[in-house]
Amino acid sequence: MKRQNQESLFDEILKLNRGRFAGIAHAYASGSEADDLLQEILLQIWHGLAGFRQESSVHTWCYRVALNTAMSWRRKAGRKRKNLPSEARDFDAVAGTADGHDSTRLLEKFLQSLSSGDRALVLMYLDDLSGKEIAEVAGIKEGAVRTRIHRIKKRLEDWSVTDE
Amino acid sequence: MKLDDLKTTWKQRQIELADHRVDQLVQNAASRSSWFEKTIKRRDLGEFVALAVVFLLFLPDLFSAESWVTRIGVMVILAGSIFIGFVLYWSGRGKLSCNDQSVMNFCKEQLKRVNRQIWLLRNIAWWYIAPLLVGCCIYVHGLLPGNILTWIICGFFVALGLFIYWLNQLAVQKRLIPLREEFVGMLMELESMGNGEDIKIGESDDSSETGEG
Repeated sequence: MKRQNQESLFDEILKLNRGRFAGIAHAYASGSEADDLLQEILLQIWHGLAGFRQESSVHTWCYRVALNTAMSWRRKAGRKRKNLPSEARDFDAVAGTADGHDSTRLLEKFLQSLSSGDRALVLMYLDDLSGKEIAEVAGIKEGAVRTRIHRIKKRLEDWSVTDE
Repeated sequence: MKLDDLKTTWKQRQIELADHRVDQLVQNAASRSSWFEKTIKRRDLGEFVALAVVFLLFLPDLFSAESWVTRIGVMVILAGSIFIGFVLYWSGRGKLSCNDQSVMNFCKEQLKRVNRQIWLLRNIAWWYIAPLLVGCCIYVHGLLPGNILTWIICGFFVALGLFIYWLNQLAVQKRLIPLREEFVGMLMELESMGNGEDIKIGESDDSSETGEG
């Protein structure tokens, strides 16, 4: 892919998915590490675009890259803090704690209680991806996605009762 | 609390998180990408440079050394260096991985990669340490035959080799084995999802379970 096309496609992807990428980063990393993970996701998106063959939709492609990056990120130890501008380090003070937002707190706690795989499914479900799209991203059958989502829903209902 | 009730919360959270800092991180990512690519090229080039340095340092002795023992040492060192380069190339070092496969296939690929790394480090004694260690010891014996210093130097090489071996085994235990277990766990989880029975009609509490309209 030509550099110019890559840049314009990257800008387009970012315009549509910036919140999604940030959400995924914060679902798989906490505090300042979420910034590092978000940067890594953006880097992987940028790098992957060079070889993007449009065999799938950009939407699901982005999700695969972001989730794979996030899921493998958690398993890499000894990460060094990237050199971010000083104003970036105030990010947690603005958006990290979510005090006073009970449903946000509940959502974050629930996501943290899930395994990596279930968390990925839930994030895609909350983002209104279809069952087919979720199955494509995860690499499992659509029926299995439905079953899993159903069980996670039950789990949330039970979990939110005990959490209160 | 129902999962669908959290959709609005999730979307609101995304808006909160996607502030102006994303632009900053984008700039970092774009500039890092070219840095990243340059780093990989530099690293690949670095290996060739290391190989070239070894050749430049030792090749003259192959033709000019008086002792045939020294020449044999040089040949072992040079052959060992080429062999190490070949193994590193085969292992895929320097190849950038792209994370755009399905999560299942990505985990499988990562697991293969980790297993390959574990194999390399567990066997580092024979493909990396031994060729250079043996070559250097023979080389030094050729340069300083019958000298007590030769044994001291060779003893140092052996100690260094043992230390490098120990470091790599530590890396396997502390880093790679836990990493492999994580990927195995993820794969088992995904495969267990894939083997689950399809939900039967009537079990669901919601006709739009998967986000479809």
